[in-house]
Amino acid sequence: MICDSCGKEPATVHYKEMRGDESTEYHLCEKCALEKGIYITPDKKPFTVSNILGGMADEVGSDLETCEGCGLTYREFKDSGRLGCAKCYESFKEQLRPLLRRIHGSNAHMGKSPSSRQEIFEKKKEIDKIKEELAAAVDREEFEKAAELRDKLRELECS
Amino acid sequence: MTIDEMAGSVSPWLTGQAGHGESVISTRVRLARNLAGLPFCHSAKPEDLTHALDRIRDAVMSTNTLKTGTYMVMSELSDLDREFLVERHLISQEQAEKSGVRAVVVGDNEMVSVMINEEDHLRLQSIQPGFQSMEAWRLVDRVDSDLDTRLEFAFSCDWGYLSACPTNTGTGMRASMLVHLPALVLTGQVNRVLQGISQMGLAVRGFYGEGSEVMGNLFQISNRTALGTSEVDILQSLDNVVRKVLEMENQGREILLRDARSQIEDKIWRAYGLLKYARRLTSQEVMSLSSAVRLGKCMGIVDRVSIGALNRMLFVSQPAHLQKRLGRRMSPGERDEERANMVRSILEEEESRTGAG
Repeated sequence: MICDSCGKEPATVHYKEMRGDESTEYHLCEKCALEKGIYITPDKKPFTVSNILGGMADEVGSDLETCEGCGLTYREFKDSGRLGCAKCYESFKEQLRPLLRRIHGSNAHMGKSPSSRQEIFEKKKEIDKIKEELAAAVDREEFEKAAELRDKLRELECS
Repeated sequence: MTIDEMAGSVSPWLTGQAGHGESVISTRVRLARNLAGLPFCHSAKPEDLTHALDRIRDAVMSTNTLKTGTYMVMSELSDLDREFLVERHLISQEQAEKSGVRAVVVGDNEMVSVMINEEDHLRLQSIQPGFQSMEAWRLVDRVDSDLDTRLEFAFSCDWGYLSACPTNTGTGMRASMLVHLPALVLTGQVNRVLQGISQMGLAVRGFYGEGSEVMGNLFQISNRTALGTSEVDILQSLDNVVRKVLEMENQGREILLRDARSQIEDKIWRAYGLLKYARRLTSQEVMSLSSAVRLGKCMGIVDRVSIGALNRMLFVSQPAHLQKRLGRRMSPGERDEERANMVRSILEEEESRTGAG
């Protein structure tokens, strides 16, 4: 079997990726697998959470994108599994969104918040909730209810 | 309280008297927090870490819960003292081994502590005896709220408390219970049960947490995800799963008593005999033998020893605890001898207390 990626070397790494119910199989040579962050040479790196994380990280955007806060590249994050600073969460937002969903099964914080952010956070939760209700109302073709929710949403977003 | 004072006493959370204390040794809740505006520890410059340490120490030492606590800088402790704190479940292996500007603040009764500059700037934890996740959360939540008025934490409205590792981002919370499941192991059901636990979104680890092996039939069950669920909901699902596991463990014990009573009694009393009369014991041996005796205690087969004494045996027979107690480094052989003496004296004390022996 020949490597799916370079089409030259023999494929020695067989990798199955699960996304929801869909699974895709990859057959790669060691070099391409290493480049994609899928393969971890057993004697060089221990099999740790970071490696798994690195392997899970999405291929959205470039690996060389850099955090303006600390200078970390997304590639470095994939290698270590550790982000450099709080700003990294902004800088790599697009890549982290699907990653966090895969780790936690969710994308929205529901827990405690610092006292200084409580008001903003509560408001955001409220807005998210109304948006969900609004979408559901539109789905069910309950337009009167939807209009009501839309007004409530506007009011909240303006305040 | 200094480390030497700790070495002469037993962690207050080992009493074994709390709810389900015979099967749940302890409950631990920890929160990961980072300071806003500073890089995370592993990418911070030494001066950033020193700055973080100073700010956090001042804030922690002025909270109601920890103002009388003990502040210890890792680089100022001996290797043995750091090992001791790991065995005591007050710091992580990582905190003990890695270099850098690191510290810990330990509360008076050791039930609340804060690690500074570990993977995150702050790791707050509370350990409680037995099955008490809500109590552990209440204590750690109080320290967190108190710190919140003195420090600004890295937080996003979308993703909650931001952590160096995305697996902790969200609530930053990990809640775990240390449970004793000998009957599930003996009846060969444990793997099936553990698989069930991981399907419920929880993780299972060994005695010393992440990456450690299972010893003495002790398992650490914890939440795996931190984002998308409130703290109390996470704790409730942990409670529910542990309750279910304990139910299965109890069924296993009933089956053992019904179908294999004499084998089980034999196993338990042999273990007791070894603990009582052996002259050299390894920590592994104490773990597995005391597990059998604990099972005997829970099944009503052995009543001359209390759960508290079995907990104590488990902790004081760890290598650094033994060496701290005698005040010097010992070779493994010497430790095995000292461990056997220690175990024997605990059992003799218990026997004279209960009028057995």
